[in-house]
Amino acid sequence: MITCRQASLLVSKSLDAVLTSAERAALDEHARHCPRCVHEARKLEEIHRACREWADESLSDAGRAVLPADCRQRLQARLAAALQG
Amino acid sequence: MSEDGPVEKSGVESDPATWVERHGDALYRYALLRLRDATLAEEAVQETFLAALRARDRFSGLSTERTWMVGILKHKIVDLIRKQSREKPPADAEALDRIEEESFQGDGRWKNGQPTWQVDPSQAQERSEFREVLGECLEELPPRQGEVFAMRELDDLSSEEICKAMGITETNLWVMLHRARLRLRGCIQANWSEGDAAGGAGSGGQDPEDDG
Repeated sequence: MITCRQASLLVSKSLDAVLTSAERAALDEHARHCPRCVHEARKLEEIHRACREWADESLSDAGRAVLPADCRQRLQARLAAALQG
Repeated sequence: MSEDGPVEKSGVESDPATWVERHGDALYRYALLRLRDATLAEEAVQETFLAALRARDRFSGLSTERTWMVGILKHKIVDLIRKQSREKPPADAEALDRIEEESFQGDGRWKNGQPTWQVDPSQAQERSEFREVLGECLEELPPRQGEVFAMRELDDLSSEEICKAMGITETNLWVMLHRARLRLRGCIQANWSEGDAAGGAGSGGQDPEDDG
């Protein structure tokens, strides 16, 4: 059976890619006997979920306006120049 | 499309002159989150608008204008990071990273106590505080590890795109992402507990030997 260290690497990889059937079987087998790894996997999933929420939130219109006035003016001027050019 | 109707050359719905007002804040907020530098964030947003202007005839309209621009922005951010990486070659931090040894015993079992933090998904304030600590912990990651993690988890780039941008193999990528997550797990455990006000990350970080 794989170790917790190997299982943790596979849990992490499963958040980014599809595991091979052998990897999935090894991870499932380990998880059946290791509540600690099941708990640790939930924590990595929480971090994963929070990151996605964070990115979505920063891109939504609900967040506070942060574009500084001088930066806004420069961007508008640059865009206007490009439109005319 | 009717042949009699006006020819729709572009899928862009809004006048480019209004882009800064429509999308400037959201794009800048995201660029700042990723680059943590106001000048670079402005540069990324400016390059995004200019690239969108050049490519607007090719915008299909299948996604929203915002989504289309965010896609451009993410690649501009990766370009800037890649440029910075070339200018400042990193120390061989990943080879020296001992987070796995700190987390696991020699026989591969977990070494320390399990994380006790929890996030209640129904509590918006709690989730917001958690993200604050997460952000501080992200800044504590070794630079390349942090970049790889952000490209994956914030930018949602594919493993192929990240490997190409960072010049690493896929196996390398899985190891770096795993180490970043182990480090974040420890940092969050040290700096956040359910119901508490967010504490500052860094005071309880796990590894004082991060590269710089």
